[in-house]
Amino acid sequence: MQNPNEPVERIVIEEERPPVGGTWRRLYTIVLLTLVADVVIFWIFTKVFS
Amino acid sequence: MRPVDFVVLISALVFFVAYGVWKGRKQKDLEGYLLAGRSQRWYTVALAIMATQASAITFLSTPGQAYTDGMRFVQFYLGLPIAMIVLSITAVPIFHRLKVYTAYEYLEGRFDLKTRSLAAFLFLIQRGLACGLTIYAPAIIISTLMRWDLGITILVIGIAVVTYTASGGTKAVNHTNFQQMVVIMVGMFAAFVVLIMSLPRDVSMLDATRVAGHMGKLNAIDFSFDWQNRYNFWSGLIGGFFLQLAYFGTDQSQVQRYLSGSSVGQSRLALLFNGMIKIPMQFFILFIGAMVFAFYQFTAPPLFFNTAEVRTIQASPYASEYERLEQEHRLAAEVKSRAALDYVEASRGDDPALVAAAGARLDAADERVHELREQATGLFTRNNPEAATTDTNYVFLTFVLGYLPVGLVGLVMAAIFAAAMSSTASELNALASTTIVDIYKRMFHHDATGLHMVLISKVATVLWGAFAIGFAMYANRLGSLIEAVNILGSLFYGTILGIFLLAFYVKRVGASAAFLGALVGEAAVIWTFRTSDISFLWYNVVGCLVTVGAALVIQESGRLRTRDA
Repeated sequence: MQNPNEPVERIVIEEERPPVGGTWRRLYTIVLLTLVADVVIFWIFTKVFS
Repeated sequence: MRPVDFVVLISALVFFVAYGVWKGRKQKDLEGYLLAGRSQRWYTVALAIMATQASAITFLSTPGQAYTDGMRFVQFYLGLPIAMIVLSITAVPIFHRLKVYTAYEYLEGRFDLKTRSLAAFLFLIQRGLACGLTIYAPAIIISTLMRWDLGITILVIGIAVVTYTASGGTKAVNHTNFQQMVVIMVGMFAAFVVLIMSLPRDVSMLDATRVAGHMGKLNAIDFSFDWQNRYNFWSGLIGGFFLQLAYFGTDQSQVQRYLSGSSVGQSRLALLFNGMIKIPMQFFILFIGAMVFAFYQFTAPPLFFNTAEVRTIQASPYASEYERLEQEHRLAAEVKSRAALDYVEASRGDDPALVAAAGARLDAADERVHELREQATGLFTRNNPEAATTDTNYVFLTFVLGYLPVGLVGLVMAAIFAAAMSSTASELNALASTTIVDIYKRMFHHDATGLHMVLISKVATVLWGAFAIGFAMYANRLGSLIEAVNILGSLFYGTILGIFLLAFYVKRVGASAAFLGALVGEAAVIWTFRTSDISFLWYNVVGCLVTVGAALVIQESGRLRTRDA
């Protein structure tokens, strides 16, 4: 095992691009937007049917 | 179940075992056996992650939970997508870069052996006990409703899982998890379609949804804040975030899934996919429960779904009283059915007064049914103070057995067995890995390699499997201890997460401060558990924040003393 105290995130993030979706930043944004959409849809669903 | 259903179920079980054994053959070294040679594609890892988290009890209990408590449980998962992003940025590249086999291995390099051993030990206790319950919980429900022998049901699930998990290691587990997840989703979707088709002819899905909504079962989002309220937006987003961060970041049964990804990118994408799909999937399963509820507004449900308790009361001095309650319940259910149809008719029109009046009649009919159920559970308690008075876990399977056509019953049963097997397999796989990597190899056989380690890992898997099966067999006699095992995870997760956050982000905190901080954090969780009634999701927040805070204070005070000296 290598020394875990070395900074690793920056190196790896720059090295590897996602298999799909363009950039990691874009994929993280999509995941967050999906969460927001879920909450909004569920809220509307609750309001409409309850 | 008819013979065709048995054929479907047995074929699925044989397929899972054979496929797992075949996929996991020819493992020659520890990396191949424990991490599938770090060769897995993101979609295999993603479905393995989802199948690991979704145990059989998820598919049995969750619809039942919507039936009794509504859909608010979906908020439990709101913190998950954010946790997936945080782990993708931090844990995944760190674990991959260091080429660790277990999450705890990382802690020794960052801190010291005692911190690694503490985290590994907590995992082995918590997951070892939970693994037995992963088999027991669905087995008791299935055996009760099917009138199968509990011991044989546990043995069938246990032996099938141990066979392919021990034989093929992580590769077998991941690939069977993938297949099992597909069977689970197909089974649940088929059950949903039949459920909608089983509604009365002139009641559409929208009508059924309106009825479920009127009865308070579609409460998916609740923004009000309450420490005691287990499932609201805030506890799900904040408490759930810490819980999911701890589960996916520090629990070896999940860490091992994404460590098997062929690269950082493949592992990350698997986690992000889970972050996107998990909440809609849980919503769908809860919606099935809400629709089962709506279905039983038009069709008389049993007075009590747990047939073991019903059989007990029917053989007791209270049998005639229970029979009278059943007759009254049938009549009350008929009244309610008519009231529900009236409500459907009224809600199609434009007259709010008519809708309100029909809703009031439906509420009154529902109140009467509730009274009768309460009288029935009162009888159970009078007959036996230890009797189960909730039947949430039995609702969905009762519907499946009563209303699904031949063949589909077998498919849904196969899905439930698949869910039990997928979670158990990942747990056994992780327990064996931690035992071998963090204890056996680290403490006793530093130089052991190759086939010897594979063989020992297989032995560890079989032994943990035997322990889980034995615990499941014995669990029936544990009573309220089962509940204690269930909350055990929440008592430790926050502290373990605190240790990992210190390791990842706070470089100035050393080994002793982290270790002492963890002890203080754990004490804070236990104190909170014993003295307050806040919802268990918040224990993760308390444990994590106190561990981090205490470690920082201890580290800084140590520095001050050094300077003073």
